[in-house]
Amino acid sequence: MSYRALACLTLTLLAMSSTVSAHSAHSHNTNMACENRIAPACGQAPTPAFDRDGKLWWVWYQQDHIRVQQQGGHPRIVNPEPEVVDDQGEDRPQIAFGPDNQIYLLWTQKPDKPWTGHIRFSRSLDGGNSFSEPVTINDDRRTIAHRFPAMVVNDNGELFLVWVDKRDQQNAKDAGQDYVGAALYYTHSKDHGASFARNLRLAAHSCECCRLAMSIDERGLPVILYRQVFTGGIRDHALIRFQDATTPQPVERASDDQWQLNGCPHHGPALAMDGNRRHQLWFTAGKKRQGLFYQRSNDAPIKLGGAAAAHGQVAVLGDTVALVWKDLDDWDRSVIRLKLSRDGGAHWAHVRTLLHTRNGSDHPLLISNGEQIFLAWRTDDEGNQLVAISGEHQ
Amino acid sequence: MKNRALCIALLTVSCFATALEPLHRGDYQQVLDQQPRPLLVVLWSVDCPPCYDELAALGRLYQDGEALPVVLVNTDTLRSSDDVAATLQRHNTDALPNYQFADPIPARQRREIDPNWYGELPRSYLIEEDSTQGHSGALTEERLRQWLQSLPDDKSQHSF
Repeated sequence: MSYRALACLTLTLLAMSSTVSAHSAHSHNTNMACENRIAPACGQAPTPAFDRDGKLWWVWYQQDHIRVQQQGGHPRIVNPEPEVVDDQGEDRPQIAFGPDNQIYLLWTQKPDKPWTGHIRFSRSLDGGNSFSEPVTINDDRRTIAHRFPAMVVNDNGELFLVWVDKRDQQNAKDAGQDYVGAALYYTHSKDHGASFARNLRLAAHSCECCRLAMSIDERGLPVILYRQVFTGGIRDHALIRFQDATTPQPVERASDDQWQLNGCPHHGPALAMDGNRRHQLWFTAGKKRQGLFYQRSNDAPIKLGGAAAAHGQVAVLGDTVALVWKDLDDWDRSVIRLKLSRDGGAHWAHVRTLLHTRNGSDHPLLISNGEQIFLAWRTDDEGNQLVAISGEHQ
Repeated sequence: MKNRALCIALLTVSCFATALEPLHRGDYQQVLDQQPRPLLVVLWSVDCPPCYDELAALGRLYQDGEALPVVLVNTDTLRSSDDVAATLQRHNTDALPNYQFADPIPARQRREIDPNWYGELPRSYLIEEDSTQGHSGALTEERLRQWLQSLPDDKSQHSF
């Protein structure tokens, strides 16, 4: 009898005696309050954003639909056709606003095949009363990985999208060749999301399992920070700037940590441009440094927290630079730590702990209404929390 | 007859069931204590393509009839165990001892396993009587075979 057959028989006997079975799905937010309720706090990865008038909105995924709600308003369904959507911390539905408060939604649809996805987009031009029929942004339509989308809108209303795409890897595989990692693909819209330029490859051999970070520079052009697989399997960070909306500049190296890994960091960077100055957060376990790091333009990197420091975010408002990340405290609680600068990142106050929880939680997010920066954090026990971090004049 | 059909149906169904045990806070050392030395512990995630390479290699070794002193730990706290079990079956690693992170704070499970591990995957530990070595990234089939072949006659320290 083969091992497998033996194991199968053993399993069968055990299953019949009801002593062994796959344990039930892990769940969060499945308390009674969320079973009959549609609300941002019932999503796994609810994402808030302020519109151009400073009103707070939420996007989240619940019961097969992308949902949008203005704070205090009613939830709306974006995609009338149900679909499975990725809403884990690193790959989550996104929301952004145009200059006239056009609402843009972006998410990853998950086909019924592991590690695949399609980038989906919808918009509302009437303040969230109605939404356009969702369109698939990736023009490669094979059921392969198109994931981890990021979106920014500049003050002219131009919309920029970037995501992780495995079409080149699939082509190589079909031709019997190896291809390391995935690729970065990009598109943009000059008509408020009515149409998009053809997909453009920005970089080959990007990390296949890390979120991307995108911000807008002083010219209103996107800047993208992402994990690249450099020669020798080094998974350090790279930066892409643009000459104009259709012309990327050559890839620049943005971190030199020498992290050689044939594996998944599951840990993407964060980026905030402040004019021409760059504020970046990233994570590495490289030869040169290990942990979560912050760096302003080409200054020396600053380490944040210890081995459990993770999923950092950065926001800039005037001279205030806020860094938050998730950490583990001495009592084994998840905590959100804050490091704040009042002079554009030249000097830093001591690290503060903003919130903690004893149960499950989402990644921390930072949002700004132009007057204050807020931390947003969903926890299983406390729900959605929004904490004002700093006014410009505080 | 009806009973027999039901019995066969049950047998068929349960042959696809993977014994996937939840790994709660504080369980890890107990799991290790139940296993022989040397032992290879491999931590992996459904969202980690390189992890699939290592699972596939382990699956091939298993099918070749190798006695594998291996424990697999899936770190997808938020994933349904069905997704995890399906991935294990696809790689023929479902009959190995399989566990899934169950603590709502994965970071503290990671700290329990290794305070110096940053969460990158796959992550492997080669555990011997008096030492533990960690390795990040997929181990190749060749490396795994070399390690297995060195086991029976070599009581000295092994390495990745």
